[in-house]
Amino acid sequence: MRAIDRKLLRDLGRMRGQVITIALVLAAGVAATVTLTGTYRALGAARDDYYAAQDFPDLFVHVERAPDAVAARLATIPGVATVTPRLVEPLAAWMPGQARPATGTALSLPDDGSLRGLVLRLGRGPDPTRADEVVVLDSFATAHHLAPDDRLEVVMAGRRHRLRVTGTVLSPEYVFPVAAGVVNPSGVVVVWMPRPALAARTGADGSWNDATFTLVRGADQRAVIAAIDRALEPWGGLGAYGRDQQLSHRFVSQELEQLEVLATRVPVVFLLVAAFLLNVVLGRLIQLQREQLAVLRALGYTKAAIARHVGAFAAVIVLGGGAVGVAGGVALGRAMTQLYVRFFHFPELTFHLEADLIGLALAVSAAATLAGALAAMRRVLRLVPAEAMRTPSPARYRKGVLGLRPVARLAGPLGRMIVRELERKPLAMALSVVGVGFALAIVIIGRFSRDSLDVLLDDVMARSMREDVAVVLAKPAPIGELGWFAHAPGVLAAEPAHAVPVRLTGPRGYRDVVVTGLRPGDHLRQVLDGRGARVPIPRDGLLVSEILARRLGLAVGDRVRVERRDGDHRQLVLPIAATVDDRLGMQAYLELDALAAALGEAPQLSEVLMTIDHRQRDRLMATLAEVPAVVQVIEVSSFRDAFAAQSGDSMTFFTWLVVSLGVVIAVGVVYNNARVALSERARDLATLRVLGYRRGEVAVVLIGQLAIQVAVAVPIGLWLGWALASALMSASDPEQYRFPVVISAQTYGFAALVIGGAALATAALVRRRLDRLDLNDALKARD
Amino acid sequence: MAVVVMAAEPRAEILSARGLTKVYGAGATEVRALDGVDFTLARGEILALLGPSGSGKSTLLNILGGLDTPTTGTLHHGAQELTRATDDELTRFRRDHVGFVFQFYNLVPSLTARENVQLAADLVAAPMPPEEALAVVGLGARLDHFPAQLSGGEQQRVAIARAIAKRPAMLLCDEPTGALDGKTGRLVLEALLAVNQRFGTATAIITHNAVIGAMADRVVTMRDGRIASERVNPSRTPPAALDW
Ligand SMILES: Nc1ncnc2c1ncn2[C@@H]1O[C@H](COP(=O)(O)OP(=O)(O)OP(=O)(O)O)[C@@H](O)[C@H]1O
Ligand SMILES: [Mg+2]
Repeated sequence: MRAIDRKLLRDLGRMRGQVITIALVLAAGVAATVTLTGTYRALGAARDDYYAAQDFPDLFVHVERAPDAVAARLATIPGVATVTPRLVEPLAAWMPGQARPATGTALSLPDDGSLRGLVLRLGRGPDPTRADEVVVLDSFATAHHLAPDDRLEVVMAGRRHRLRVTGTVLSPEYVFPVAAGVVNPSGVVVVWMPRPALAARTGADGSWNDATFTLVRGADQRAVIAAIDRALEPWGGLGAYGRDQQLSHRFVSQELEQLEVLATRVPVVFLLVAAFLLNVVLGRLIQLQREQLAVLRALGYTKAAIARHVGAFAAVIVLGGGAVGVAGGVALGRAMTQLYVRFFHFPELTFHLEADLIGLALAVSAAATLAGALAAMRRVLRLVPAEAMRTPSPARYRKGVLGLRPVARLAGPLGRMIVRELERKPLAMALSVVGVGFALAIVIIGRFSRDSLDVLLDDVMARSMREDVAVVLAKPAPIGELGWFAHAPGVLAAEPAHAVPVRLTGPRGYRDVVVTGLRPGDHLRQVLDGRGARVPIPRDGLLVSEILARRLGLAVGDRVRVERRDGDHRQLVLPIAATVDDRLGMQAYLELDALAAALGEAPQLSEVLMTIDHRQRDRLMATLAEVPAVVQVIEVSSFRDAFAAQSGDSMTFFTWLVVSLGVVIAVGVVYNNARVALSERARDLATLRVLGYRRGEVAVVLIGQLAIQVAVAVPIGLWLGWALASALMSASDPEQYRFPVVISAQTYGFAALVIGGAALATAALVRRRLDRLDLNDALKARD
Repeated sequence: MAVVVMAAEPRAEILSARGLTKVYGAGATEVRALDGVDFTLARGEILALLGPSGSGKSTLLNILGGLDTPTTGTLHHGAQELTRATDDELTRFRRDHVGFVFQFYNLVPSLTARENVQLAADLVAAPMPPEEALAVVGLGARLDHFPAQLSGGEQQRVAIARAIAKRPAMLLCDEPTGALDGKTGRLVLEALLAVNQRFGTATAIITHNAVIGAMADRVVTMRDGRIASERVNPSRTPPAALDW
């Protein structure tokens, strides 16, 4: 082996602490990329493949009742590829051990007797000649340990039905099982049975009340919807809608959108930060070798040979860190994907390692590392060798660049050494400070989404939805019905709300939303702006979410076309009275009486919001369960829990992931800063010891320098964290709900603690090394 | 007389410099480290370079060895004009013809004595085996020690072994004995003399110790960036006989 190669190995071995921590910084960047991007792609691919394989419909429509012949006519609408008419019936099932019945839907199977559009998991499809056989949604079956041949008792069309389970299925319409505000798989029951059997139980022979459509490629969805709506108007069509309104699809897509932001932005931040740190840290490490590189030059090694030597050092770090990063990223990606398997029910959801991902991550980190190493090497090589070896003639210390002179004067000789060192290399110091700051910022990024969620939940769930229970009625009822609910057992207060599904159309497009009518004096539902202040509900026009107005191309004072979408297709025009920068997005409000007047009706209610005496909760639930007009009873707390669980699980993982990687980076930076400083100053410090300074006093010089850097870095890092978090959030503009950029004091504190901890641990390590510093070695050999 | 004989038969020049100047800085802080130096190094000679601190000795030696470039003036190595050479050509020149011994040894701390010598030996086609080079300087028994495990004099001798392993035509030594006691200094000088006698290596030695001048063929004294005087010794005194 050539001596220069041996030097490489020895250097790697001697500096293993630094080599390993630098490699880990790189690994963290690569792992973040592989994990987040890989998971995002896995989820996207799972959805797209599933939809394609099962012909997930493009459009959906619900009607009151339509004869079979109408379906054939729908198929002739230009742009429609297939029409699948079906029967859909709400159902409820009391399962053992549940406080409330599971709610959901019974659907008819295609008339050809196949399970088209479904994926059979267990058992077989129902026998069309048997009236009681059904297949059940797999997530529900799993939650209740239902197996083929088990019985399932449901309430449907006001009667009890005993059904026999023949199999369990997955459906692209229920990737995320959600029904009536329930997102818990055990509470969402869906069954499929042959159409004749379902028709017989609901008295809907020879007709259908729901249809799905697939469109030909390139069809104009808007035009098709309009045509369908026209065709179905006589049959009580409720308005066709696209995938964007399909509940399961919406949840999945929303998660994907959020994941996309994370998957595209966070790795960029990670890789850039890692690249920056690699550049700085490796640069300083190489700078330490300037004399040795100069000796090689003096001996006659060419610049190319030296570049190879330095490049190999960097390459070991890149390959080592890259390998660890890829392996770690795969493991973390699998875990994260597994998390989604728990609440997204795809037939196949697996994390795949894709070559381009690895290539990308490695290319970025390799480029950063090599750039850092080679730039430092170029700086060294630019010096004539004589110059490079000029040390140990004293380094040139400048006085007072940073205006710290008075400080230095006060600080005594040791303090002066610290200050002078900071002043001598303002750039190196600034880079270290920024590096530590970035590490801290990454920790903040990892944790702040949690704060945002808390604020969102607090805003939306606690402050704007103040009711304990929301009761949804099957059909709007006269406002006078409120009295009955107000006197139901356990109800402390009851307020009405009238939700009318409408299509709002403006110059920039249309959105199907719900206009909520609320009474002016009520307080259970409140509209809050972005800062949490209450916004009054107007009576002379609509109050709409700012983002909704923007998407429609409307401003305050403009008039918006409103088309009812609840069977009645009446059109009216209303002014926009105000907009609100709320967190929910896509909302519209009007005073309840004004809404009724606009619709030309007497005031009605479709929901009752109530606060209850929790001791009487079970009694109230039992009472409500007996009321036929009640289709849903939503407990805000359980909704909140479910929401927190769903968003929370992936967020906990994400938080944990990013925080751990941030900690790795933080430790890597702080540790390397200190080690380089130690190497740079070993001689000075040994000289101090020789002069008679005690160990502790000598340690102060180095640790003081470290402490000053960290102290300066903390506020910078906190600011950087906020800036990066804002940048991350601004990337997404979801219509559903918007996460506020909120960073709690705990998060700031936590991030500062992590960095402080890393700094303390490093300080202890430095102290130990200083204690063991061999005076002779330090004064004799330079490295 | 011997002096006349030496003067009458000048040996072939290996390096020759004309009008070298080296200026550091500018304006008020300008330092003229070299101020018009004419200089030659002859094949096979031992040359001692004396002069007070700051007189420009190291600057001159670094320029001679291609580690630094003069502000003005020319330097020839045979027919090659080093003052016009590219960086690569200077590297080649150092690799093939020059061995350096630095005042502060400048060994690579992560390599053993043998490996430090090998570092140089790796560069040329027919080097002296590292063990042999170390034997020449009397360190055959310390092959596998790291620099930190060697005394200053031993480190300096490793540096000499490293310099001669390439079998260079010239050896440029900047205060090779500066940090050493008399006995150790003598050992180092013995080593340099041995190399000179065995391989005919032209050797330039910077020293503050005028006594060392006695072992040289020629003694050049510098003052304020100029050559103040030059003297040719009729005969060389062996290092052992030097009165330290
Ligand atoms: N990089 C530099 N920048 C400015 N001045 C320099 C530089 N290098 C050398 N000098 C100056 O050039 C002059 C000659 O320096 P040189 O190192 O050649 O002296 P020297 O004769 O080797 O001294 P010593 O015996 O102390 O080693 C000195 O005055 C020195 O201060
Ligand atoms: Mg000198």
